[in-house]
Amino acid sequence: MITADETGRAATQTPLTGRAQRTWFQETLRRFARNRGAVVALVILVLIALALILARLLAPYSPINPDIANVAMAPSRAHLLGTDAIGRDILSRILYGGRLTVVVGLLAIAIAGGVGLPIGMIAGFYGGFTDRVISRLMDIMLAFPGILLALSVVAVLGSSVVNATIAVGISLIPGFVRLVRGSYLSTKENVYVDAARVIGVGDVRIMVKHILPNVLAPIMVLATVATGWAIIIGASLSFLGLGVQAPTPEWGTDLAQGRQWIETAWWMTTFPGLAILVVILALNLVGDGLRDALDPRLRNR
Amino acid sequence: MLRFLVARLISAIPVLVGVSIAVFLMIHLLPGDPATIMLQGAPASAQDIQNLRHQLGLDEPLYTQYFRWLDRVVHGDFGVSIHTRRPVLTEITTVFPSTLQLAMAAMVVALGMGITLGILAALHQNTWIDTLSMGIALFGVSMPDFWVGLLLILVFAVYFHWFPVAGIGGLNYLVLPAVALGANFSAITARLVRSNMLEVLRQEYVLTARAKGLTQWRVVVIHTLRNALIPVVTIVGLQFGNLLGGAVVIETVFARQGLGQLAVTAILGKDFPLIQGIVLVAAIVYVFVNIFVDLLYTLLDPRIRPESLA
Repeated sequence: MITADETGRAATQTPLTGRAQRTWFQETLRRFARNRGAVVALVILVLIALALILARLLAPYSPINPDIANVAMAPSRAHLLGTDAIGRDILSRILYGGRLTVVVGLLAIAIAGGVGLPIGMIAGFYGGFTDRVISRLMDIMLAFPGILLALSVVAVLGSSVVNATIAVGISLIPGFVRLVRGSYLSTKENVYVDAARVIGVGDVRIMVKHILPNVLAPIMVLATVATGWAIIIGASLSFLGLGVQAPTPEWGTDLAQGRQWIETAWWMTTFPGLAILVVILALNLVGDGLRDALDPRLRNR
Repeated sequence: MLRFLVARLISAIPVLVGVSIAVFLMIHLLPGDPATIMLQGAPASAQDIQNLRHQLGLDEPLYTQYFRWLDRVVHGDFGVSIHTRRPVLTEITTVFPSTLQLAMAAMVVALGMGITLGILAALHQNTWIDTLSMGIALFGVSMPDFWVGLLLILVFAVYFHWFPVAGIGGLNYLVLPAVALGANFSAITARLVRSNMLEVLRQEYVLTARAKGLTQWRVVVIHTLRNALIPVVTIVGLQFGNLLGGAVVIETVFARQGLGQLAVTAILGKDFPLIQGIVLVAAIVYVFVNIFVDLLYTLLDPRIRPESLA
């Protein structure tokens, strides 16, 4: 794996052509910009974020108030994506509902990263007994297959939006710990770490200031892709009735409601799911683009 | 091989003990007194609660409670479901075969589709076939499995009437849930097989096989595929866990009786003995499947010495 300083060196070694030398960051940005799919995906993500933030302005109808005159209407000019079982506009519900879906995903990643990063650092940096204890704990968490870890946490905390977010976050901690641990385990042997230690830099400072920038690339890629997983797990919990509760709009909850009408109203299950797909697809493309840009050797793997 | 198996089994013990402690603690981490939770708001006097606490052993130290509980669990006694009053183990063994059937079918679908797509993409690298296969795979990893299920119902059950919308029964009822559950894994497999195939196709022995004038079919199936598939085996164990977990959502989508649906009902009804039982059983199954997969791995790839895995 090319570490940040190696790529940085490679960039500075490129022959001078009169132009200013590019920093590692500029080089990465340039490589990312060359990946058309990733750039388009990033633009889509920004647009979606704006649409969700501006839901109040963009949503043509109230996402909550029933409209008995327009129950289960197929998509039409008045209701572009149709209406649900009690006449609520699906487009409006998707715009408002996405806020919760996405915020749950982002907060869950913040929890997973916020807890996983320091734990992984400590395990990888110190090794030995500390590492063995942490690794065993992660093994135990990973023994709860798939969504079952999140389900168990919800079972203990009770079903609510906040608890579902915490549950999703906890279930993604082991992934972060493993990745960060592995990176620190291999990076701490570098000469610059010894050098820092020799001049009396403290452990925490070495971990954060010296090593972290060099292992940030894979962590950023994981965070991007894992945001997608978090959104899917969060929406799954809501779909099962264990997260966001009706009548609050949320993509998973809306899909669960649409499930009851699947034989008569296809639009109720199609559009909220399509919204999830677009977000996850964009996140995955950006993640792929980031990975290629940060570590060109991994391209086409 | 036997030594490896024993070592691998021994290494699983701390994990299983940890899982059992976590599952045991579930009910004690809950806000409020477990006895009150068990009563589910039923009218009870202070004396009733006291009696129940004693009956459940809640008035004893935590570690005593744990060892008692563990002793019962090891002997197959997971307690009784709060709602149905039937033994938890009976509840689980009644529905487990249907979940296992679903997970296995999904595995077959995933490996079948994934390996086919992966081979096609690798053999036609940088052509439209490659782009299309990897495009399908990208959608596969980006779609929530429950939405795949809903779309399959819309298209193949509601519109074409080829399969039933929901329920449980013969093979007919298994196809859509299996595809929905396996979609994600098949996409992961396709990507993995493609990159492995590309790597193996560059090996000199493949060139030799080609130079001997072997047909493309023989080169791919006899010389390349076997080695390209070895890494796939490693993720099968991990993915089996995801399939088991994914069954929770897929069973709800297709209204299939199973471990997943049982889990959701148990959580919604705060049926803690049942939740504990399901989580414990799922974790144990998962741990043992992974041991089995590791074993398979060493058989497939003689370069891997069993000791290094243990």
